[in-house]
Amino acid sequence: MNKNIQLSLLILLTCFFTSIVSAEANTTCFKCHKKANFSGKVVHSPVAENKCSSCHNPHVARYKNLLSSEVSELCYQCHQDKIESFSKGIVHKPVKKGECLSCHAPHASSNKGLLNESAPGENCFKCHKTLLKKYDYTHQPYEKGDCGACHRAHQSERAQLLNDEPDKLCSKCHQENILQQKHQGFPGRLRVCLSCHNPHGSERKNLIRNVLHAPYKEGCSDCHEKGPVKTDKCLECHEEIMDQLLSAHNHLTDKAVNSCVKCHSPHAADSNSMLKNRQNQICRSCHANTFAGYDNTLHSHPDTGSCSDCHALHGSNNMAMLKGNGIEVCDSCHKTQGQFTHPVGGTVLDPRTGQQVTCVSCHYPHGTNFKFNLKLSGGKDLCIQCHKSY
Amino acid sequence: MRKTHLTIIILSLFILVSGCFTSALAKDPWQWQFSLRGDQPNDDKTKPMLLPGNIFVDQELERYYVADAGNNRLLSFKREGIYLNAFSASNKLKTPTDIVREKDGLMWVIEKGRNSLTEIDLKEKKIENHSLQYRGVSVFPDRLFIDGENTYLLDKSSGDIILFDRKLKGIKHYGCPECTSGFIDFTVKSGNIWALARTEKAVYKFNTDGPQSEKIQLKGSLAFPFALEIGPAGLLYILDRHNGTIAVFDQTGSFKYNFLSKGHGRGELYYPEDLLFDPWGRLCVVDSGNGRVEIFSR
Repeated sequence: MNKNIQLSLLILLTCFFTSIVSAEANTTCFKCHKKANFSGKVVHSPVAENKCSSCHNPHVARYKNLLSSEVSELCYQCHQDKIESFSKGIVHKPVKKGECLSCHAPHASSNKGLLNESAPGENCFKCHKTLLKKYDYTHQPYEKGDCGACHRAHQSERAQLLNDEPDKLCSKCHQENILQQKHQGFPGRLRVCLSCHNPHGSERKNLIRNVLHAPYKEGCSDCHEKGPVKTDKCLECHEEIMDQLLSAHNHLTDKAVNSCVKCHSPHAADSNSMLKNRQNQICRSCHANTFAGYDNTLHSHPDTGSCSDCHALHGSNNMAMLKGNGIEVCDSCHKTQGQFTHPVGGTVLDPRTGQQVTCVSCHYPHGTNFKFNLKLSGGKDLCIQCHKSY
Repeated sequence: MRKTHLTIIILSLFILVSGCFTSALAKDPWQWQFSLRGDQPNDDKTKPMLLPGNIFVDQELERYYVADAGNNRLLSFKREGIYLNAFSASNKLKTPTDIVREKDGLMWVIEKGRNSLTEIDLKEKKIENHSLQYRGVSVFPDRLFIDGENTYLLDKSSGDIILFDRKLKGIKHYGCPECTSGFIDFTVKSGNIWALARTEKAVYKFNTDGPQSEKIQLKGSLAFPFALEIGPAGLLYILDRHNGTIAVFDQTGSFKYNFLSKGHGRGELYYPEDLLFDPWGRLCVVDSGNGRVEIFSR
């Protein structure tokens, strides 16, 4: 047979079977499933093309809703260009977990990008429940639900999935010369806007954060004399912190004229601790690697959201700036394990090091790839580290 | 036929032997020699080290000195690793984290618990605490190096290395204006100061006479660089605290190899604190979390 005829026949047959499959979806699937439920302003292209079987198996499947694979695997089958970019930098938790459907509708939606919720921002508020939807004074983009004005939805190189450096984000809308006029007396060029302003909203005008540092309320001169305000100045009032700084491991952060302001705002903040941000976000800004380990292990400690549950944030004479030794810290929550467990503490010594056996002799508190955050497999490998004769 | 079989057997044996040889070569070049430990077998009066901070070697006396911060004492060991003595200055030391012993027996100790550079005159049995200031600001001594008349201190607060004279008057400082964090460790070798910037994952080399510095960007995966040492061949040894490894770089910053791993066994490190080459070519690693100093040689 002539080659051209063969090719034409092949094309014809392909078209024929494709039309059968499409027609099948059109007729068979929608015999039971109302087509209206799969229509909207934006329709996912496989649905529009009646390719139900690109995601679903019509007969039997290992996954819920007769899906032929995990949700994210199905999405990445087509959206292959996203695989690499969605794994770079800080990745939004649902993306990391492959929970594409927590924000996107798989079939159709009335919103751009097949987003689930029609009201802007609602997708975000579904998970970020602690955020207030409205403040006495609310930042305009936040009020509109335009979270994307500052944050990225999937991943970012910056903490809190920001689009850009915070100051640069502010200057996109707020003209610098106008701001400079409003901040007369500010030493030098305006910067670190978030040190005083809450980017979402506040009970105070101009989005000034709710809690004011006592000396700031009184005026500037209490702290600002000549030149920059140094650590010593803070310690004049906060004497109790000095005791914690006089430790083997302290958090006097290097390269700061004033170590305190690396974490604390000297003027205004959202809480009495005067932290510049949520505690774990501040810690993450320097200890990104620790958080990556925490996020990327199979078995990790439940996120308490507060590093200070275990760590003394200014300084301590314990390893890793823990609040106590490797028993005291764990025991404060895990009461039962403190009473009934492998012998720990006192004269129970680790033969590998001669140090007291503590919880962290066997567990790595942030997380590991072994059950119960064990450092090695609890089956055997861990035990024979010390119990050689077994 | 027989010839073919023989060739196959010889070839297999060759592959097997060469395989063993290359795998032996691939092992760590550094081999564990011994540990310096505070607790001694059959001696109830001794106790394990707790959060050892730094190690100093007296070449003339052939002794190691270790600052045992958690037990408020200083320990001394012979060159062979044999425990000699514990010294607490009649329980007056408070969180000693670094030590330098001078030829005349004068000891300088960083006492973090007092924020003091403490002078201990063993002959005169005198202890003097020094609270230091530089340009009107309190200094928080973190690491210490004494080179003749010059005392170099890493200030934890500013992250700068500050040079003091014998009267402990601040002369000048070596800093890194471009760094988001300051230095976390330094050493002085052959008229140069080598300083490690943790956040930048870079080493800065200063000439002690001038302000100019050279930046060596470390090209390799480092989780939490914490201490540095310059090897006899000029290679940079970087202690990666969170990974429990030591990474080796050349002076262009190119990664050469790394060794050791995180854990509690022999050749494993847990929250290590400091690195030092002793005069006998051995690498001393202050393994703080495991309460010991590990000595390795090639």
